[in-house]
Parts: sequence; structure tokens; C-alpha cells
Amino acid sequence: MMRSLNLDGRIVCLALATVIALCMFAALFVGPTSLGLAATFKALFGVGDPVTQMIVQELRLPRLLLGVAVGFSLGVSGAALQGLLRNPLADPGVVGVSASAGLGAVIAIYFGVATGFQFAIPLMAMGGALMATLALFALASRDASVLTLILAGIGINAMAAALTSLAFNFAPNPFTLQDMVMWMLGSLQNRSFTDIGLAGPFMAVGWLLMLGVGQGLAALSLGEDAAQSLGIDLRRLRLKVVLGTALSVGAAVSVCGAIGFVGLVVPHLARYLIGFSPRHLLLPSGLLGGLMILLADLLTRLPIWHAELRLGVVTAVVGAPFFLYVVVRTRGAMR
Amino acid sequence: MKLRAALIAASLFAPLKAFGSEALPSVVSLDYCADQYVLALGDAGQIKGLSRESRMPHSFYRDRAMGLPQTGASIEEILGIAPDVVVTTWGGGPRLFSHLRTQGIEVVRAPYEDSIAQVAANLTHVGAALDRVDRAQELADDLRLRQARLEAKPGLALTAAYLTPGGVTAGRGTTVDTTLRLAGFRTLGEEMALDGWPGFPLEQALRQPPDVFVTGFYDQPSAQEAHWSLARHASVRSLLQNHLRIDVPGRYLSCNGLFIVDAAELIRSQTDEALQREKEEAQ
Repeated sequence: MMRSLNLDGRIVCLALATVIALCMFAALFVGPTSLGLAATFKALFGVGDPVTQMIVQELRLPRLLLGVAVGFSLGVSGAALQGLLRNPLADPGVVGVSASAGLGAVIAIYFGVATGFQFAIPLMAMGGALMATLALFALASRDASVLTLILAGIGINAMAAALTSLAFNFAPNPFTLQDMVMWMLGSLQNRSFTDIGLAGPFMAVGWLLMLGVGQGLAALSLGEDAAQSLGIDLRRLRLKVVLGTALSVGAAVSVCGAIGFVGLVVPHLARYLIGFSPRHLLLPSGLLGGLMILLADLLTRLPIWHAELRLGVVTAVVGAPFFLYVVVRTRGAMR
Repeated sequence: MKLRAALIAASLFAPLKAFGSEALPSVVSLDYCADQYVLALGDAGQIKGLSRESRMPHSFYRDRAMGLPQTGASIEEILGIAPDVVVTTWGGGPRLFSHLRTQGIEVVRAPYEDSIAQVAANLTHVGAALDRVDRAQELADDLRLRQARLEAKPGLALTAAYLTPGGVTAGRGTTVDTTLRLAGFRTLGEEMALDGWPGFPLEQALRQPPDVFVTGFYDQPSAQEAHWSLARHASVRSLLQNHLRIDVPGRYLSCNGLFIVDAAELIRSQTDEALQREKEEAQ
């Protein structure tokens, strides 16, 4: 079993929030155009050259804020799902919630619903995420083995991928197909406050639902019977996690495409820092998720890539080996 | 001008003429870019199958494709038609081609290139296979003549940026970059040293906006710009509103090369008209 540093959760959260704030501030100065330190700083507060203000306030700032919000959503969802399913491999990406949210968004775009109703994509994405979370819960909650969860996740992922492929297959033309494929790879490039306005409220409601279930998840780690004997309403607990995951992951996917493995990696890092109690893992996981996306997005913006590097590709390159590592560590439980 | 009118009239009526098609080799095309060569050169009577995208909005000669048979690119379907010639740009594949050749069907490739010289070569090559050598020569000559006329015009001393609803721009080495230069512009690809089809460099464009935006594919029913891509960004909308915008239908840009001159003429004439309007308004 992985060791833990058993640090104080509040101090870790404070430190993470400070690091995120510093990284966001530093990232404001990174971009394809060199704006200068003083000009960027002044532009942040609406002073100076209007074009620099536009770049800082309408391009760089929303990108950073959205990145942290998306990472927070994926991190909290991963920790909440792992706690609810008592399974270290539960992650919105691994178990098909992100793919199903992506399917919902693709359906909204494919059938043109998105053209007439601006909330169609987030709502359809959240609908897809909700269906996947409910299916996962129905398939894997009774038998909490790692193997069952992974198999259920493979099934849900495969179904979402198959239906998304169907939409790709019948794409009206090659240009739309390319757009859809690139979008599914995940990106924060050129996102605006409009995107934050569309997805932010849904993500925030999802966070509120999930951040309040720490005590219930801690009790559930002792088993369902023990949790009930401690006065935990399991039905309510499940509902909060399922709805919270659907809202936050669905909203995140609707504006950034599918970004995998964040929800898998960060709860493990949080456990390493502060210990194994699910009660204290939610907020640090969210903050670590925000930091991870912030750093991954910064990597995509470095001027060393021949073509635009997609955020979902970076998180997958980091996350997939970590997934295998966790599989190796937990393989005893699969037998 | 008379020569131009005669060439246009010839290009409009020649493909519809069924006279003498009995003697011409029958043809099937495998993709919508190959369709364009076949529709430009072929006699309606000799066209036995076009791709299923030949009547889509991004097919340049979709009007000519109406009423003509369509087919898939499978061995079974093509052998069922038994054409003399199959034309392809990117459709089909090596297995299909070798099978067709063993059945005595000629496979003609019209490569996906962005130079007018290659387009002229494609016309000649496909024209010869379709036994439409004169027609191919006529079109190739017309292409070169119109290219020369555009090149003879004075440059516009303006920078143009290409933008699609998906947020893609055109860098150096692309057909669109060639088209914009042929229309008389300097291009964003040249000025920012962009190659291929990168995402639109929004930050750089805000710092140093191009003079003209040439937008492509905004006419397509699938352009979900409102909720899908970069094109919905407030800064992009602001750039488009505050600069001269020339909208080019996607059918002019969907196949490399064949419509470079048509697209360049369209862009140039619309730009000249817009600049003239601006001049008149300023006076």
C-alpha cells in the first residue's frame, strides 16, 4: 500500500491554493505574444493598451480560470467516485463518465440542437454523464471489486465510444468530422468568459453537492452496514455523488472536450499528502486537479510544439502510466 | 472579354452535351475531389458513377452532379458498373486499385496538390483517360490565362487572414495561401511564418490584425460556429466586425487546386468592390 505523509489537510489546502494562485499569476505572462511584465500586470487591472487588456482579460484569464475549474471538477469527482465505489481506479475518464458526457455534447452538435439553444451542449453533456454515472453505480456498487468496476467502465466507455463513432461515421462532411475529433481531444485554447458563464454554475453546484459528502464517504469506507448504523443516509449520499459528478464533469467536458485521468491521479496524490480518510480528500483532490490542469495547459502553450498540443493528450500521457501503476499496486484485489 | 465569355459558355454547355457519348469511355469517380475533374471534363453520358458527396454543398460542380448516378467506392459496386475508367484523388485504396486493374479497368489518379501547374497536369491526364483531350486543353489554357490576368494585376498591399468556423487558418504551402497571394494579398501565413493548417493565432492577430479576413465554409449547414469553436469567441467576432471580411463559399476551397483561380477571382473582385465602396464613402 502507498505510504502517506499525513500532513495537516488544512495546511495542504492552503499551500495548494497559494501555489495555484502563483501559477495562475505566472501563467498570465505566458503566451504566443510577448506582452511584457509591466504591461501584462497593468492590463490585468484594466490599465494600459486596450489590445493588451483584451489579450490578458479575454484570452489568458478565462483560460486559466476555466482550467482550474475543470481540474477542480475532475479532481473532486474522482475522489468522490473512489470513495463511493470504494475503489482506487474509479475516475470519470476511466469509467466512461467523460466519454458519455462527450457523447451528449456530440449529439447536441450533430443534430444541430446547439445552434438554437446555447445551453444545449452543457445540458446534453450533463445528461450523458448522469446516464453513465447511474449505469456505473447500478453495475458496480453492489460488488465493489476493482475488476467489476473496470469491466463496467470498459462497457460504458465502449458504448459511448461506439455511439460517438457512429456520429463521426455519419458526419455531414470531412470538415465537421475533423472539428469533432479535435474537440474530443480536449483543449482550453481560446476559451472565453462565455464558456465560464455556460459551464461554471453547473460545475459549482456539482462541487457543492460533492464537497458535502466527506463524512458520509468516511463512514462508507467501513462498509454499508456500518455507515447506516452511523446514521448515514446511503441513498442521499449516492444521489449527491452521482448528481455532483454528472453536473461538474458534464459541464467541464461541454466546454473543454474530454480530459482524462485527472480524477484518477489526484486523489492518489492527495492520499499520499494527507492520508486515507475519504472525508479529507475531496477539497485537496479538487485543488490538485486544478493545479494539474493548469500545469498541463501551460505545457501545451510552450512554443516548442510543431502543432497545437491538446490538453487531453497531455493528461492521458501522464495519466495512463499512472493508471497502470495503480493496477499493478491493486492487482491483489482483482483476484 | 469575348474569349472569356466564349470559354465560360463552352464550360457551361460542354459537360451537359450527350452527343457522341456512346463512343466515349465510361467513368466512375471515387471521391468528391475526383468528381470535380470528371464533372469538369466529362460528357454527362459517359459518367456512370459519382461519389455520394458529389451533390453536397461543398462540391463545386454539385449542380452538374444532379441527376447523374452515384456510387460507393467498393469493389462490388464498381465491378457492377464495369466502367472503362475510375478516377480518384484520395478515395479507394491500393487493394481496390489492384483489383480493378486486374479486371482491365484503368485507374487514373488526380493528385491532391496545390499548384496550378499540377491542376493543369491533372486535367490533361484525366482528360486523356476520358477521351476529352480538347476539353482538357481548353480548361487548362483557361486556367493559365486567368492566372496570368490575376498575376498581372497590381498587388493590394494588404494582409489577408483565412479563418474557418472551426478556428483554422491557412499557413504557407496550402492552397488557400496560394489563392490569397494570387488574389494580390500578403498572407498571415507568410507574415507569422505559419505552415500547414494551424489554429488561428488569436493573440497575435489581436496585436497585429490583418487588413482583411477571408472566411471559408461559413456557408456550410454544418458550420456550428455559435457553440462549437474559436469562431464564437467575442474577440474573433470583434475582429471580423471591424475588418473587411470576404466570405468564400466552402465549395471553392474544398478540393486542392482545381478552383484556385475561381476562388482568387471571387476574392479579388469582392475586395476591389469593397475598397471602392470605402473610397466612395470616404469622399
